[in-house]
Amino acid sequence: MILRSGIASKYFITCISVLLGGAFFVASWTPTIADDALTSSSFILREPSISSDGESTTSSTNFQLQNNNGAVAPGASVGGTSGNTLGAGGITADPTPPANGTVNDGSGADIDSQQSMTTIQANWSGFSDPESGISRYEYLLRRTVDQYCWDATGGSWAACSVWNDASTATSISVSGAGLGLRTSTEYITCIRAFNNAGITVETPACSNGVRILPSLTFTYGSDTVSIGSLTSGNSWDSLATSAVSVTTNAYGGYVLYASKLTALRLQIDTSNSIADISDSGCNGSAVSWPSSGAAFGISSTDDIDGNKFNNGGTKYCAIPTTSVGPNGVAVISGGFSTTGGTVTENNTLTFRAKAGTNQKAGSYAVTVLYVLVPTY
Amino acid sequence: MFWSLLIKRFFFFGVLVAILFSGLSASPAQAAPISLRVSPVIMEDEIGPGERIIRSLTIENLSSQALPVRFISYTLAPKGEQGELGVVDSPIDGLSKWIETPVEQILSPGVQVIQVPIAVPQKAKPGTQLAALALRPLSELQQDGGDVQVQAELMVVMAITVKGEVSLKADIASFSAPIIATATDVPLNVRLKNEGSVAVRPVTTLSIRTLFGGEVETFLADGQGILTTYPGSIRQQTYNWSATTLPGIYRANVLIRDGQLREEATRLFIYFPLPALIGVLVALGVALFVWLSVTKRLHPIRKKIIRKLLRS
Repeated sequence: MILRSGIASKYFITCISVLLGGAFFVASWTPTIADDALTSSSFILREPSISSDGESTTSSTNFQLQNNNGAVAPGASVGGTSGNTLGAGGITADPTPPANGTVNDGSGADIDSQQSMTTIQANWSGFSDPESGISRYEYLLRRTVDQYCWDATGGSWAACSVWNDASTATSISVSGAGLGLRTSTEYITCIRAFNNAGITVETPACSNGVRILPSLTFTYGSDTVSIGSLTSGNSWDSLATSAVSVTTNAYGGYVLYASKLTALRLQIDTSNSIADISDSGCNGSAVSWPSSGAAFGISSTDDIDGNKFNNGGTKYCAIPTTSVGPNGVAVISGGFSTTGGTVTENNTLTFRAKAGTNQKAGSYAVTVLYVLVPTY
Repeated sequence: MFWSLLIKRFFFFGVLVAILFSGLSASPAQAAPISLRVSPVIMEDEIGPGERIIRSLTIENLSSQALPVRFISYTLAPKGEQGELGVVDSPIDGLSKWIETPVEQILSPGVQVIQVPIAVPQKAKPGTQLAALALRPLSELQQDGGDVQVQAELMVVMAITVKGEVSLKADIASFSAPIIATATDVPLNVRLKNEGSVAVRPVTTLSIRTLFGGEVETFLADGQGILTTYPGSIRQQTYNWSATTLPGIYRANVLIRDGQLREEATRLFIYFPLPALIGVLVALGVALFVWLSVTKRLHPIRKKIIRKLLRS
C-alpha cells in the first residue's frame, strides 16, 4: 500500500497493529512526508495508526508522527481512501493548533446568572483550523469555590483538571445527581478543540462564568392572627397559630426573626399591657408556659437552636420590642440545605396570651414583625 | 300540567340553593396568604470609591392580590458566631446610606424587576460593608379586636467591598475535637476570626490522619456549612467526620483557604466508638469472670498440693 504525496518518500514504517473500522490490519508502507514539515532523520508512526491488509478499505483516519527523540512531529491527516489505495488525498502537514473561539454560559447568548439548581449549560463558536479542520471538543467545568472540576465519567467533582469529551457538539448541558449546584460560587466552562491531527491548544477558551442566584420565597398565612377573647371560660389564656413557609437555595440558608413594635397593649389605654413571658432572652433556650401571671409569647414548630421550642413539651419565648440591636429579635425559624440545594421549611408559629388577675378589660393589640434574612 | 308543576318546583329549589350559597360566599373571607419571592437575596459587589452601580432585584408576588411594598435599608452586623445577621444602628455614613432605596410600589401578582442603585462616595473607606434592603408588604393595621397584627420584612443582604487598600486576614481562633469520640460522627469545631478589612469566604478542607501520618480521609467541609466571616467578627462551624475506621488515636487537620489566605490547625483525638467500647468492656467483664471462676476452682487443688507437700 502506498501513500502518495508530492515529495518522494524517505522512511519505511512498519505498523504492528492498527484499528480501522472495527477490524485489525497488519501491513507496512512507505509514506511520503513533506521535508519542510518533518526535519528529524527517523520517524515512527504514532497512534492512532492506520494500515491495511491489502484488501479494499473505504475509510480514512488521522495520525501523528513521532521522531526517535519522542517528540511529536507536526500532525498529518490522511485523506479518503478508495479501493486498496490508502491516502488518496495524500498527507497534509498541520503544524498549528486550532484557533480558539468564544464560550458562552447558558444555551444561547452569554448569561452571568441563572436560577436553575440542576443544570449548567454552555455553548461555543468560532473554533477553527484551516489546515485539517476540527475533529472534536473537550470541556472542563470548574467551580471557583474550591477550583474543583466536574468529572462526567465519575459523575462527581474532582481535583482539576478533568477534561470531558464533547465530541463534535458545540454545546453542553450538564446535570446529574452528583452535580450539586450551589449559590455563592461561579461555574466556568473551558473548551479546547482538537484538529484532525489530534493537536489542541495550550490555553483553552473559557467562559466568564455563571452564578446561581440565591433566592428566598416567604409565605405567611395572613397579616392578622386572632388570639380571641381571654375569658374565665378559657382561664384568661388563649392562643392562635399562623403558618409560615420559607424556601431558599441560599447556600448558608436563612434565619427568621420576630420582634414587635410595641407591647401587647390595651388599644384604648396604651399604658396598660400584658407582660412578656420571662424567658432569659430566648437565646438558645425557651421556657414552659407559666401557670400563673400574665404572659405573652411565641412558639414555633421549627427545631431551631437545638429544638428549643419543642424540648420536653411546647416552650415559649418573649418577642423583643425592638428590631434594632443584635439581641433585639427572637430566632423563631431557620435552616439550610445540607446538600447545597433548595430547602423548604413549613412551620407553625403559636402566639399565646394570658391575662393577669388585675388585667384591665378591653381589646389588646400588638404588631409583630417577621424578619427573614438569608445567612451570609 | 304535571311537568310544569315539576319544573316550577325545581326552579324554586334552584333559586333557594342559589340564595343560600350566595349568602355563604358573602360571609367574611379569610385573609389570603402573602407570598413573595425575591432574587438575588445576597448581592456581592466590588465598587470603587466614587462609583455608582445599578443592580436588579427580581420580585415575584405569588399572592393572588396586589401588594403595596415599602423598601427600607438597614445596617447589618453578625449576630453571634453562627452567621446570623442582625440589624444594628446605622452609622452616619455607610452602605445603608449609599443604597438609593426604591420608592414605595404596588406589586401586582407576577414578576417585577426593581433597579437598585448603589453610589459609593469618593471618600469611602476600603473594605467590606454589610447592609440590607428590606421589602415590607404594607397592611392596614386593624384598630378593633385584640389581634396580633403581622408584618414581615424580607431582607436582601448586600455585601459591598469598596476597592482600595484592603487586607485579607483571618486566624483560626480555635479548632476543637472531643478528647474521646465515642460516636461515629466526630464533631470538629472551627472558629475563624476575621482580622482584616474584607469578608473572608474560605474553602474549608478537613483531613483525618493516623498518629503516624497515614491519611484516613480528606474532605471538603463546605457542604456542612460555610465559614464566611465578616471583618471584626468570629464565625464558627461544627463539621462532622463520619468515621468508618478502627478505634485509635487520630489527628484532625483543618485547612482554610481564601486567595492568598491559608490557615491551618491540628488536633489529636481518640476515636473509640461506643459499640467497640461496650465490646471491650464486655470482653473485660467476661475475662474477669473467667479468671475469678478459675481462681476459685484452683484454690482447693492448691490447698491439697500444699498439704501433700507439707506431709512429705
